Amino acid sequence: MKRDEVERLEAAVRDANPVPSAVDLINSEEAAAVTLLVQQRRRTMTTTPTHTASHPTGPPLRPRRSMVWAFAAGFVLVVLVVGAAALVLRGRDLPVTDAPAPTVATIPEQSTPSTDAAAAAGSTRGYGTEGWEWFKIIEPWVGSVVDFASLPRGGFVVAATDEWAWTPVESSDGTEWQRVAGAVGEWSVFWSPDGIEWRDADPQREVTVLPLTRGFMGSRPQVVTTVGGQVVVLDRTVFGIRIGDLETQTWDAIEFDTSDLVGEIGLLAVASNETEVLVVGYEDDYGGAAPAECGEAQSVVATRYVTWLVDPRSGEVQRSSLPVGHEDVNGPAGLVAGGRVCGESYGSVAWFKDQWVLNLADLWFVSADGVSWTYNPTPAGSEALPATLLAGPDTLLAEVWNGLWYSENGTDWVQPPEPDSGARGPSEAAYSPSFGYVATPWSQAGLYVSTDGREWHHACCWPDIQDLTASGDRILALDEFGRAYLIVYKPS
Amino acid sequence: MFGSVGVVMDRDHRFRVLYLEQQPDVLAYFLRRLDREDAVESCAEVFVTLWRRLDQVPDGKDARLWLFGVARHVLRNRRRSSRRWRRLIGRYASVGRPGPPPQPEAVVVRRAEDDAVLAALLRLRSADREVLTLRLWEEASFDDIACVVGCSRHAAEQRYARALRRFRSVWDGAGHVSVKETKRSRQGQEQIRET
Repeated sequence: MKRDEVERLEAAVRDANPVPSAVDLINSEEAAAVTLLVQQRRRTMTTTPTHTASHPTGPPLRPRRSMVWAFAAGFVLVVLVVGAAALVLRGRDLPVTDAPAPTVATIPEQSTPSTDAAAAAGSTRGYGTEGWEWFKIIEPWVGSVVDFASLPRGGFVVAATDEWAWTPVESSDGTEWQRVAGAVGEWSVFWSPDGIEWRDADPQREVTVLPLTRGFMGSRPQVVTTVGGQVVVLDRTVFGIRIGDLETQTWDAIEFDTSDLVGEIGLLAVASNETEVLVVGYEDDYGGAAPAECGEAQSVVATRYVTWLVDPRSGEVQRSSLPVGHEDVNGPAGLVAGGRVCGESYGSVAWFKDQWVLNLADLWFVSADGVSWTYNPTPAGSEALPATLLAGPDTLLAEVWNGLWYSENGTDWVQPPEPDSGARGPSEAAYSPSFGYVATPWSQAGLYVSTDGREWHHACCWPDIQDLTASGDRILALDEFGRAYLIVYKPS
Repeated sequence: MFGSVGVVMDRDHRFRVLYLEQQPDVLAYFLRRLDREDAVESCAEVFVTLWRRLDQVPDGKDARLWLFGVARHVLRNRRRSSRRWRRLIGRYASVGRPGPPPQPEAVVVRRAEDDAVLAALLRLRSADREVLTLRLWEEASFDDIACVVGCSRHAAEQRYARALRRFRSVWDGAGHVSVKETKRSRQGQEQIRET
């Protein structure tokens, strides 16, 4: 770019700075409020002992010169060994290690996933700061992952796009929403039997994930799941789901009947149990209600929610409506905390202890059969919303804006105690029967582990993971720049 | 015993110094990106973390970068709160600008321009948006950006250049004329009005 062009753009961004001068904040009301909060919290807090882990803690700082040399030497060594291994193992690019250099250069073979929960709990207790290895994955989808899932027999599946149009933009009149929705690009599904070699089968390239017809921010949408050996992806081209058999690389589509849904419709989330798939969708401005006026922060749309229970083997679909929608809860006059703002939808569903648990912002439902739903108007731990749900054998986890919560029954929620590291605890989690629960950190780089989802311990170091899923003995992780890593735990 | 009191006093003194020096900048960082309530809460969280982990905080300028590293983590996790993050544009408009208010007409012009820029920023990848705003709002050097986001200076420069190109693509793609042209046009209108 030419200099004047750079200056033009920089000036535009600078001029839009909402707080041009921090100096003006001295003695401001906001500063006083911060001081008050800090004083209150300091009073109720004891200082934590110094963390003595061997890995870096807190935000990264400029490396010392000796560290730079050590890193450089380690990096060269690792690249050489990995390169040699790549030639032997694959004949093409292998994932390479990222700084700081791991102790070994080859990715271990995947162990057979264990289904023994007791064994899983036992092995998790051995987690510590040692024994973790991570490998940077270099694949075409890296940097564009939107959702991923683990395969029951081991391995991962990734839904990715090269477009970033999912970054939503609000507007004053709602028209922008439509334009942004239409700009969503084509999506691809990649899969890997072990997290090392990734395959991209052509038929999936036409799959277009549907939830992007609505806006979402923050939490990762549920657009892909697995049932048996099959992958299920939400697809807007058929308004339904695509079911793919990864072995045969054949795909079927199941289209939902929406002929009686007269409002704007969309899909929000998909999850599965051993045999069935549950899809959550919505219908806005239903029953002839006036179209919502988007743009005002307090505007609310009349929305009802719909679920589709699908048996992939028979193709049978059962649709049901949830007993309440957001207008029913909040009334047409205005928004209450956690209510549904025009243009935004949040949905997450999980199969937990023989029932479906569904969160739609401030609404909680449970269902044993995926058809008849019970509304839970007063869940304990009501701060736990909106949530992305993750089911383990003992606890249901809710990834919420202020950290991770857990529930033992799918209705009452508890926030785990602060972990022993002194930093804020886990934020987003994954579960594997082979080793239990793992989670991203809230305010400290690394991984957290837990035997049961109730108590968490800081376990591992780099990279600073933002999102993850687990399968077998390994974790597929993304950092905030969309870089992907394979993390393997090898107890000594 | 005397020694331990000294340690406590040193710790407290160090915290106070860092707090007084850095609080306005950290608060501004959050007010630029969150609404008032969230910004205050997030800023407090950063300094509570500072207090808890004071023994690990580096000295000198690196302490400031350490704080911004924590702030960045806090912000990232705040944004996982979709119901708060989704009102971002509204928040920007609601953040009061310190100092005397500009003339009503200027406010209208300013808001329209700024909202368009902020909307364009929101359409960027978060990594692009972060490096742009750190550079142009926090006026961070490339060395500082590299330290805060955990990359090399060279990588920070590259990311910035790339982010600026992407911003141009979004900004110009939305049909906006150059800022200079807008200002020139506005000056012309004012001259016409005066005459």
